[in-house]
Amino acid sequence: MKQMHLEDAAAVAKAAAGDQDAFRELVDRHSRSVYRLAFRMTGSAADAEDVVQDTFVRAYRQLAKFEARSNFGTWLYRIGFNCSIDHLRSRPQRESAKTTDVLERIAPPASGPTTEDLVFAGQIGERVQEALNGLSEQERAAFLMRHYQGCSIEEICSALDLRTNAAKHSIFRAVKKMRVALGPFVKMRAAGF
Amino acid sequence: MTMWHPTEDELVEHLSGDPDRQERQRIDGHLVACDECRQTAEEINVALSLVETTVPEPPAGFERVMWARIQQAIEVDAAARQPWYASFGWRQWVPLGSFAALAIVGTAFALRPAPEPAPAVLSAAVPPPVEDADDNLQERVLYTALDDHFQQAEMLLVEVRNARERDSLTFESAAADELISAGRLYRQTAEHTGQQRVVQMLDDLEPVLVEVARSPERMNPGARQWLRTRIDEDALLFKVRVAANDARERVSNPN
Repeated sequence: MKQMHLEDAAAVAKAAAGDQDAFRELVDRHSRSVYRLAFRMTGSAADAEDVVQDTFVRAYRQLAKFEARSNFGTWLYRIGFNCSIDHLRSRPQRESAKTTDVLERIAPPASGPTTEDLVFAGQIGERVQEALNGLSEQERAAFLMRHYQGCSIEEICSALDLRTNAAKHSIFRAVKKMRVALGPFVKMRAAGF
Repeated sequence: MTMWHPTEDELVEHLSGDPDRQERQRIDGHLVACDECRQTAEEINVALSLVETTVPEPPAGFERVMWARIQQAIEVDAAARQPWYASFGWRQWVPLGSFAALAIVGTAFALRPAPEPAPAVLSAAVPPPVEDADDNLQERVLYTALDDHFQQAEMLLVEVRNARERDSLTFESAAADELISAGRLYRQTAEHTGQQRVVQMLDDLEPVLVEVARSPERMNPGARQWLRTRIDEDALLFKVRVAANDARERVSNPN
C-alpha cells in the first residue's frame, strides 16, 4: 500500500508538470475504485461513468493543490464524493424525491418475500442500492469509504471534513439503517441460505 | 451479576478491526459465550458483505474508454479557460489565413466608391445597394470557405470510417484539429450572419472531429466503433455532402 502511495505521488508530480501519460497511469490505477464508489452513490452505471470523468477532470485541475504526503486515493474519493453529490443534485426533482424517507419505503413488505425471491441476486442488488439511497449523503459516503473502500477513520475524516466522532456516528447510523433495510436478506444469509 | 454485552456500535467497530487489541480480545471472548451477540455480529457482517458483492464490475477496457473521455474533457476544459486564440498553432492559421484574406478583399470590394448612375435603359442590370452587396459578399466569402471546409471534412470522415485497426490515424488527427479550429471561426461568422443551418451542421460535425483529433495514433476498437456509429447513425457523411453542395450552389448562384 505504501509502495502504491509513493508511485501515486510520483505520477501526480509528473502529471502536474504536464505529463499526460503520468495522469493516464493514475486513471488506470484508480478509475475502477472511483467507479464503484460512484455507482453506490448514484445507483446507475451511466451516472457512475460521468462521475468518474468529472472526478478526474476536477482532480487534474487541482493537481497543484495535492500535497505529496497525502494519500492520492483518499484525495480522489473526496473529489469523487463531491462529484457524486453534484450529480445527484443536478438530477430532476422527481428522481431525488424517490430517495427520501427511505426506511419507510424500503421496509420489507408485510407478506414477506418468498425464498425464491430472496435468493435472486439482482433483487438483492436493487435492495442494497435502495437502502444506500436512503442514507444521508454523509452517511453514505462515510459508510462506503469505510466498509467498501476500506479507508481508515482518519482518511474518512480528512476526505469528508469530519471530526472523528462525527465520522464514526455516520458509519454507525448507516450500518443500523442498512441492517433494517436488508433485514430479510441478512437473516436468510445468516441462517445459511 | 448482570452480563456485559457490547453495543451494536462496538460490534461494528470490532468487525471493522478498529478497537485496540485488548478490547478486541474482550469482545471476541464475549462472542464465544453469548449466542445473542454472536447472532447480531453475524447479521452485521452479512449486511456489510451484501454491499460488497453487488456492485457490477465495469467491462474490460473500462480504463481505456474512461481515459479517452477524460483526456477529451480535460482539453475542452483547458480550452474553455483560455482565450480562444491561445490554443491556435501555426497549422491552424493556414486555412484561416485564406478565409481572412478573402474577407478583407470582400469588404474592400463592398466599400468601394459607388459607381456612376447607370443609364435608364440598363436599370435592370444595376447591382443592389451597397449594404445588400456587403451582406451578399460576406455570405459568399463564408460559403466559399465552407465549400472547402465541408469537402475536407467529408474526406476525413470517409477515411476514418474505412480505416482498419492497424492503420495509423496521425494524419487524420492533425487534420481534424485544423478543421475544428477553422469550423469554430466559420460558426461565429455564420451565427453573425444568421445562417442557422450552417451553425447546426458545424455543431453536428464538431464532436466527431474532436474525437478524431484526440485519438491516439492507433484507435482502440471501442472508440473506432463509437465513431462509426456516430457517423452512420447521424447520417453525418450525407449531411456534410449536402452542406458542401449547398455552399457551392450559394457561391455560384448567390441569389
